[in-house]
Amino acid sequence: MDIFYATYIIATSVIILFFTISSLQKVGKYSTLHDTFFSLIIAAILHNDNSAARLIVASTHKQRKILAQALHSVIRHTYGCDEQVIQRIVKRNRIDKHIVKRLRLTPSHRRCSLLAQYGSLCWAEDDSPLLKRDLRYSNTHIRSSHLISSLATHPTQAIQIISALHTKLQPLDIVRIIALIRRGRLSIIFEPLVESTNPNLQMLGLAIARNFGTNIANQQLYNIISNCDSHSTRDEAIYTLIQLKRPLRNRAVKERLSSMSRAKRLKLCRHLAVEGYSIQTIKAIVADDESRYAEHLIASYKRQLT
Amino acid sequence: MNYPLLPFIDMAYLLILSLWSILVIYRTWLISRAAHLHQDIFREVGGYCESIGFIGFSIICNNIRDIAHISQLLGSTYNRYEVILTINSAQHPQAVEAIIKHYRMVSVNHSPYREITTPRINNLYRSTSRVFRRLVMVDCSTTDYCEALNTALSFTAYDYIIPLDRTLSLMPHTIETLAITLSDSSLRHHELLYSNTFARCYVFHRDSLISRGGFSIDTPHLIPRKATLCLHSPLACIRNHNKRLSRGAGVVLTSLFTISFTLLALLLSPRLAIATLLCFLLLFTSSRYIFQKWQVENCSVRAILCQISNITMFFKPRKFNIS
Repeated sequence: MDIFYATYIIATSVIILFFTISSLQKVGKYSTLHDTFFSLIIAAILHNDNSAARLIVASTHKQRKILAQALHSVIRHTYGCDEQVIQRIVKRNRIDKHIVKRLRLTPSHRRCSLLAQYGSLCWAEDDSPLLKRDLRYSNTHIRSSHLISSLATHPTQAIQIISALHTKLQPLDIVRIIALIRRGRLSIIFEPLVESTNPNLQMLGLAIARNFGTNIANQQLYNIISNCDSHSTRDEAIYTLIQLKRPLRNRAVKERLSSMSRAKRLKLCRHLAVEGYSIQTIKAIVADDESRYAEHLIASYKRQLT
Repeated sequence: MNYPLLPFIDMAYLLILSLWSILVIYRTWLISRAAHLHQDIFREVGGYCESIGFIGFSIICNNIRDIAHISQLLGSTYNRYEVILTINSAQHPQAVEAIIKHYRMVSVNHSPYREITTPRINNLYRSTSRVFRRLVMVDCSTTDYCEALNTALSFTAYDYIIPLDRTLSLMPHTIETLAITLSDSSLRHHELLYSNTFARCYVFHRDSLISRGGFSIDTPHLIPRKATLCLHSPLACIRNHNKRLSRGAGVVLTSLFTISFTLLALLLSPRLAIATLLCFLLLFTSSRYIFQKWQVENCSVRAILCQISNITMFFKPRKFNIS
């Protein structure tokens, strides 16, 4: 009893002390330094100036860590118009080596942000710090971060990397790949992807068509809806057509809708109402009961206002 | 006086305290790990996740009359998202008028097609301003919050429903966090997601909720445990209406609670009183630590108390209640 009591008291006191010390630390302890680096980087990019870039100096481990975060934040917001200045700052402060060193020492569950920094700040095609076990890790965020880093460091091999994946691309992966394309780190044309037989490539092709408003993709989308074996890819193609505000009175679309479950058709009706399709279009592709449901959505409040 | 059972009572009390402390520490660890993951992923994706995998959210609110609160709810930049308010104009005519004027709302048609039974709808309003196209207001003559929520549910367009009331406000980036979480297809089969961090908040799958007859006081218990998922990220937090009052009441209540428990333990032995006091200290410091991890500064005592009650609650609440 005495030992148990003493253990309880000591353990609880230690934990209370830990919680108290951690809580007393200022939330934005290093935020001033981060903000300073951020504004200096922006100034260097604005003037494309070497002297401004020379002012950015990180000498300690902590400063390099914060500079890496600041550079990564800038890259996320400037859509890749600034690579030369950023490269100069990275090389001058040896940020790439710092990230690689930290990646080698950090355990799996804390690698997400480091992998992202590696993808955006390390231009050398060295994939030694990217561990193969990250791809097998149960945490989807780490798998996703690993994939994005691989794509960013090997942009020319993007199609091979994606087609070699054993797991299905998640919507989050697709969003992050689209962001890479927008930043200019990847250049992929949607047509070969949409025509590919690999479901991951097809999904990515559909996402590109959707996000970049590719209106010339109609025929490929109809082909996927009528020929593709995967239900999820066919549904994604229908949703892509809707997002692109394309006509839906096609035989392939009608056939696919008739084979869907009622719940899925009602969900589609809600989506059509949100996207602003007319009741005539909906009546032409779904049954009477479901079109009445869509009519209720549209006539009640969705598109009543001009 | 020597009671033969006293050592056993001491031991049992200490065991309960230890178990409680371990569970609190475990939950604190889970919440702080969620904070790390949130910071890592959200910084990556948050800026550009306009819509992830066609996942959409409908926030349904009962009796929210404060315009600042409504504006805060409309503040999300996520693409597939709407806010549906239900309010009884007979009870709060001035509030309805103020909302209509502020958001430039007009009455629109509403047809009788309903997936679930709802009370009579007096009017349906929608903003004429494109800026507030996500806002819908339903004027219905009911005082029961489940009926009011069901009325709002019948007008929702997206797959996930978040019920709120005037005591709760969404944490910044809740919608994006939920979208990132639900983008994992292995989590899509869940009918109910909930979080007890900071304040209790539920996220229901629309179709399954309608198939179960909509909202009722037993709703969370009707959903099987395997179809529910507990999230450790905070989704909502307690709104502070009167800071000074809640702070004063909170301090008094907490002190009374701690002192009474310590005195009760003192009746058994002074050693147990010290252990009880430490246990309560652990609760307070862990709550402060969690708030610091989620970068919530200047939180009220009421919010800390709510967090303490949630972190020590190891069983589901018996009745469905939003606040």
